[in-house]
Amino acid sequence: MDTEFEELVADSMRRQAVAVAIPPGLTGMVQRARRRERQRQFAIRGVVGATVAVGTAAAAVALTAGPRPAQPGPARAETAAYVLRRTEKALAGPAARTIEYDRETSHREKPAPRTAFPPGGVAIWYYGELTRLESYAANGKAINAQVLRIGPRTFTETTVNFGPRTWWRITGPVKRNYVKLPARKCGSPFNMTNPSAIRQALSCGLYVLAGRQHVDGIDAIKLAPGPLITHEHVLPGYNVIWVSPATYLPVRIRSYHAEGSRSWIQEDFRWLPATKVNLAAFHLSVAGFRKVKGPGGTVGVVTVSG
Amino acid sequence: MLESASCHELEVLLADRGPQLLRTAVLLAGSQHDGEDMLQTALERVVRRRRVDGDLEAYLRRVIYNLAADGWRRRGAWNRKLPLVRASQPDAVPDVASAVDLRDALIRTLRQLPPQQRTVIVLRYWEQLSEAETARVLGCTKGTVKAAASRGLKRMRELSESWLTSNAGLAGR
Repeated sequence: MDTEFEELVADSMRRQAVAVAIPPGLTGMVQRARRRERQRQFAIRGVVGATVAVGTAAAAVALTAGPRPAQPGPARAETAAYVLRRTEKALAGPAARTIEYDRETSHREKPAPRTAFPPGGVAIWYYGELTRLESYAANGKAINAQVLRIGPRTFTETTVNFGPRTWWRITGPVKRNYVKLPARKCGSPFNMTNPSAIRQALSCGLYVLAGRQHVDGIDAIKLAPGPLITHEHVLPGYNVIWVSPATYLPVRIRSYHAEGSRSWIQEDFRWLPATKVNLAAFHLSVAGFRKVKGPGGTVGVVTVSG
Repeated sequence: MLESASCHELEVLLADRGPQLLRTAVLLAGSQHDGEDMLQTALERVVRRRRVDGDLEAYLRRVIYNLAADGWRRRGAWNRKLPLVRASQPDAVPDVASAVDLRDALIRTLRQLPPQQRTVIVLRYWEQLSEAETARVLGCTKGTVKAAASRGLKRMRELSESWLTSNAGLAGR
């Protein structure tokens, strides 16, 4: 490199430097730096404190999902927008090709009324137009199982009742309703039960990043309701979502009945590959069960758009 | 966090050497606003430390240089694209006053360099550091500094080539 050009570069920088405006009160930058550092430290303490508190609560409600290896979290800082975008993408892409297994349990402050949620919770499998639903008694025994195939115009439902050992199969028309929610009410229904409902809730931008927490062996990313939910009551209750840092698919959703409530419904998810073995869940064997007349009626499918 | 006494030291340093530090930051960051931002961030990083052993100015400078070399806010790629975007705008009328000044053209090419090359060029030709000193503050080898400076100057020359050929007469100092 010729020295003349180097000298020209050095001279250019000298001239540029002279043109730099020196703002008054440059020393004030130190106090500003101290203030910002204090705020940063408070923010860190807040996140750590919240994570520890909720972590203890989660440990008390260990659920049926099997052990999975812990996954190291990404080193870089994540923003809520980034996590939500990845989760939405995962729900639209990989999740659509897998069987969603969702184990729901209810946790109440007071004893549940007799007509409420099955005492032992429910397990739901979703895959395309197929749904399998199993209800459990308080002792963990299955009460009944239902497989539902919802086509464009008709549905078929097969139900097996394990107590009286009966079964029925019914078919009927599908009644579709399309509901467009007002702009502000863009949240999901209270209990989110399928990828499109979860996607919808996330798209609304109502969640904020709330640190990391161990859920079922995964160092999950926690998404909590933002100010829109807590202050403007967009939803009847509110949800807290934990997503996997590896797949960005939800691993747990907890739906609180109301702000400040200690009652909630918890959904623990597994995303299963659509293998022959896993798809067998949608085949309900009725051998050894007595056929009875099932209830008539229609299946209503409500499509909610924000 | 840095103790109050050290913060006072930092204020004294800024009162004395602030303008020079800001000039360096502006050259490294590419604009007045980004330079101020970079200096502020560097101060926050210094304040975050409990104590600074040795020369406070040297430490602050090292933080600034490393911020720049790490690709200050990853703006490197955007800064390299910006002149192309501007050039493609049909209504963009060149600033006659700056166009006739080769030095302005060179500063613009400096902003288009990758962060590490730009930092090395600023340290070598503005801060007048030797290759060994530059390598020490950036925590890399002398060979890396040599290569980055050589590539940076070569790229600056390439970028300003067309200007140099069409304004050969004006290029003299």
